Amino acid sequence: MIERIFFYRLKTILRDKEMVFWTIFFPILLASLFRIAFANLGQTAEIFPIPTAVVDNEAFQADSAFREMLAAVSVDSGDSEALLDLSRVSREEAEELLLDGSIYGFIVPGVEMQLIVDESGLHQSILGLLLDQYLQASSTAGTVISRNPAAAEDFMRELELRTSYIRTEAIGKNSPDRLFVFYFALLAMACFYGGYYGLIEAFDIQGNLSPRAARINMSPIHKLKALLASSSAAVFIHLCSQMVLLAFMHVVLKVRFGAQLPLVILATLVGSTLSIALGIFIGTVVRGSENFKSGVVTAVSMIGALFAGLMLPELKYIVSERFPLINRINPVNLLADAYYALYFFEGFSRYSQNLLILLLFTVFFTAASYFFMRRRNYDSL
Amino acid sequence: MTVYKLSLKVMKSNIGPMALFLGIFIGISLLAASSGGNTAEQLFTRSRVPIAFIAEESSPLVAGLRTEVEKIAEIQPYDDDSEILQEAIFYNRISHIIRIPSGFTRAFLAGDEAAVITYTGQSEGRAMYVDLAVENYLNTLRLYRIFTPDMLLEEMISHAGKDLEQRSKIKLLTDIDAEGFQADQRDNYFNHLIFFNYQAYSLFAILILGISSNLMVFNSRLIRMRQACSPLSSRKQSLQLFLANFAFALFCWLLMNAVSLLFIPELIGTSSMYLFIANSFLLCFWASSISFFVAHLTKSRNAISAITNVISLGSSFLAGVFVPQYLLGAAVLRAASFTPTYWFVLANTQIARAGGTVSSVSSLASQNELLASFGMQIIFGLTFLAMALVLRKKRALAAA
Repeated sequence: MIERIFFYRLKTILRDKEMVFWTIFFPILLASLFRIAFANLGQTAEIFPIPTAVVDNEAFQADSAFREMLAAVSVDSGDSEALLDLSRVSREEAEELLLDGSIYGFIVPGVEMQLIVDESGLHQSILGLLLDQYLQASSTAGTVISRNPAAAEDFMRELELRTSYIRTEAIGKNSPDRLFVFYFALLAMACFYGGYYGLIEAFDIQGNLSPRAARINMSPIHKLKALLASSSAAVFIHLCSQMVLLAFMHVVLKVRFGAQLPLVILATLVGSTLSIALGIFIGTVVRGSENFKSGVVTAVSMIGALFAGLMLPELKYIVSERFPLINRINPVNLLADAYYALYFFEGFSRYSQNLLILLLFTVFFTAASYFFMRRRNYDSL
Repeated sequence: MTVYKLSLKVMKSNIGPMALFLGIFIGISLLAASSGGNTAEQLFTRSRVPIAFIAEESSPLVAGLRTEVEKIAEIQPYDDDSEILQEAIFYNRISHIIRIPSGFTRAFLAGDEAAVITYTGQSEGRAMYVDLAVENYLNTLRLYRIFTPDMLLEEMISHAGKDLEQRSKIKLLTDIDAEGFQADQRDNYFNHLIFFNYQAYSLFAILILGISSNLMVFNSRLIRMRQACSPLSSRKQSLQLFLANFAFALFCWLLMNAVSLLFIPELIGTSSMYLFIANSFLLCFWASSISFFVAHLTKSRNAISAITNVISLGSSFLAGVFVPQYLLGAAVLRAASFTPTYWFVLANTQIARAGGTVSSVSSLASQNELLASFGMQIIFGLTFLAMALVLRKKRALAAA
């Protein structure tokens, strides 16, 4: 009996092709779009060379060190990774260039070195830093040469031999990455779309809600058995769709799940089960039209994902720090956090803690839904 | 206007979930905007990042480094406990850790290989400035060590400190002090931008969700067949249906802008406000058209929310709603320019720029650009509306 219900449920669910299609493809589409959009975020390739101008005034002609420095970092030096695309112009021309947007700023050499821009931004900051470094080096050169005039020749050479005194290491297993906060939140949100499957289960098992449920209620099967059998079918289908997503993220997007793939799958299984239990819970306990219940499922997954950092990674931290309780019971965050903990921490305490809370939720929602629908009899359907 | 009235009636029956979503999306907008919103922007600004500074030895050199770093970063009192540090990085309480290994001073002064170890959290861009400060300090000392070996270490450190205080003067073309501008104007400028940019996600999402579930009722085959019998032409029916949904859209738009303005009262009455709101109205129009079109693509109620996410969130990612457009690559922006969201965000940026004190000189040029951005949005809106009407017509014929 149980396996019959299971297989018939599989068929029934798969018949809503649009829903199956969208639940599989919406996270894949979103993840790909995100990947495309942010592929070169933080990469410098498109920033350099920065179109810049320098005012060719007397001070500029007089300052050979400055001219050499600029020449060394501009495209004319033949360096393919040059910082600046520099043009030497008059003050009026420079202002025109800045106004029509063909340069980010121009330098006015003088006693007080000036950088003129028309708004602040990344490129302008870099130009500022470049000038700062030049001024700082000149100041050092002044002190050094006044103490040791013989050093003048070697100074420039040593200056260019800038040494790196920094070694970057990862503090956790992997470096924290905003991209991964997003991917894991998306994975978790997709998981909680299982709520819609749960909702359908709830409709198809309560005799007063759908003709199909009315028919099932005629059969002499125990309600809990029927519920478990049919919701297992939903979990199965939903888990399969999550596996497609995981595979896509792993293979195409190269999200590093690493050797812990089995643990990632375990977390996904727990998440899938909970999401369907949650959907059934909403479908049985919440009063209202089908539309309203479906709205509640949407709301839970959207707000949950928002607090888990899907739209804005910072929000996850703000909520976790200021309102810790919210994210301790936000199922979407708990799941996303479990993935992230696997990625970041060496140990498993955080991961297993999150999973435990998710399991408790699952048991609670299933039990609550069962107690709500058990021993229901209908006078007339 | 029978269809129009009927459609409004359907919406009324749907008022519960719609109120829920409206609340959620207004909440999302406010939360996002007030949480510092434009975080990618902050990533690259010289704001004081919270960091941990762990020194395994103490020396004048290390003390000098600490002072130097403190100029641009907020050093938080963390002890050398890797578990606590890991948590702090995980929760983004600190975005960077600097560790001075023991023996560093000796190795550095002897000219041997010496390295400060840094661990970076999520705000890599901001941490970059911290690393740069460390490198600048140590490299300046290196020069003193090489060329003035007779100088006392303390003296070198004080010289290096003075050298590193040298800053270029950054000025705006319009002669406003750059520092002051950055602090006040620019913050405002971005806050306004965030409020309105986020509408491209929140208003768009609620319109797709709302309009699709409203139209779901009319998409059922039986109702379509019944409507096909009516003497009212299908074009008129469709237009009335669109009008009713556009009325719903206008309501959402009004509410969202009213709430936005409540939170940015300083904008009220300025010319920027009218332009921002006009742009937001265009968003309302094309978002309704697209929603009207999308509503005809699916029959499954439960798929709506998935479609909503793909369209609203996806276009927002692509078009620079969550991060400034200039940080996205040129290729991405080219692709994004095929979405109306791109033009909406672009128009907002143009308004914010012209509205501030920045380039009032070039206002004429920017107005032409602005008109182009507005125009593109109108074209997108009309195109999707036309496509939706064609699709409806086809459906009606198929039903009959």
